[in-house]
Amino acid sequence: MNCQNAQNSLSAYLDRELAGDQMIAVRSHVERCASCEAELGSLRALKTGLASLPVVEPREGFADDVMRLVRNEKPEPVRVPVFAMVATSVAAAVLAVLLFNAFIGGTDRTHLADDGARFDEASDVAVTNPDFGSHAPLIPVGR
Amino acid sequence: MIATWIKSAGRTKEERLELFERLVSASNRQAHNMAMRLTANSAEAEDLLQETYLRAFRFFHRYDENLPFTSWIYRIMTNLHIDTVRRRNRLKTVSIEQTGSDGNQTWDLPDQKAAADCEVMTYALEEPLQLGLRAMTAEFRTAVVLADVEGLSYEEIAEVMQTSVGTVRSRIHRGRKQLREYLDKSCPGRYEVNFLQ
Repeated sequence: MNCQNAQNSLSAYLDRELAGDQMIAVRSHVERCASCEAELGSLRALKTGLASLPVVEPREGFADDVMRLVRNEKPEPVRVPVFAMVATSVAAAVLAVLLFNAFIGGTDRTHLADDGARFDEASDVAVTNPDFGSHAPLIPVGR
Repeated sequence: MIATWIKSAGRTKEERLELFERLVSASNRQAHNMAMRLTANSAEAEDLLQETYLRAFRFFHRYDENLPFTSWIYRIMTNLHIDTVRRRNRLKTVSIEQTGSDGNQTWDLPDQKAAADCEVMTYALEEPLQLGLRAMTAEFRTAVVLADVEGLSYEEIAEVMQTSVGTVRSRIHRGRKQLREYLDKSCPGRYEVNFLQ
């Protein structure tokens, strides 16, 4: 690693944001190079200085003043995301088509027998439906 | 996104206000410090933080409660701060010595020091490091403050600034160089910067 590469990586090295092999490469360069070592020292002094700046407190009552303003603020109306609306419309359309097909298919192929059982015309087989009795809904019968 | 929307939509206004108030109360000290470091001026910091919270409440239904509130607040604050600085830089400056074409126009300027509460309301941080921060480019300053004052990782900063980790790395590197150059000129030796060059 040359000085230019090392100096470009010193900030990230200081912040421990380099990959392991890069950390090792920068460290071994800094140990051999006085100018990069000095550069790293100065960056470290800056970082330490910034981290030790005193916390500046807000004035007393600031949060209350903010909340007073917030209470007068109108939140943006909650809107349904566009993709949610599209997904809902598509689902409704698909359901409608399925119900329609079910109704058409059911009337074409089955009818209620006198005893409340469904009768499959194609197979001439009566299918008893004890749950619905004589009010059994029309449901297509699969083969 | 959908879960956030469903959660927000299910709350009454009072419930939203109550939750928001708790979050403001828990975050305002830390957020105020961040605003001070970005602006270096108490009045500007208050304006920035106030606008940040107002905007946060306006879009509160978009807040994902699984994420830290301060990160979301920082995101809004840094966007506002960078926009404000850019807008300010675009403003055309006119000398107060300049008069109109007829030579009679004068500027009626308020005396900023006349207000009794001026000193209470506005004070600037004179700490050289703070002045150095103020002299930096807004994007660089924001990245450096988030890293060194707030102690965020590059990934967290990238999330707050809505950019890539590579860009954050570059902004911090260049920002620290800017800051060091400022300190080197204004107070050599104070931050051990003089022995480098």
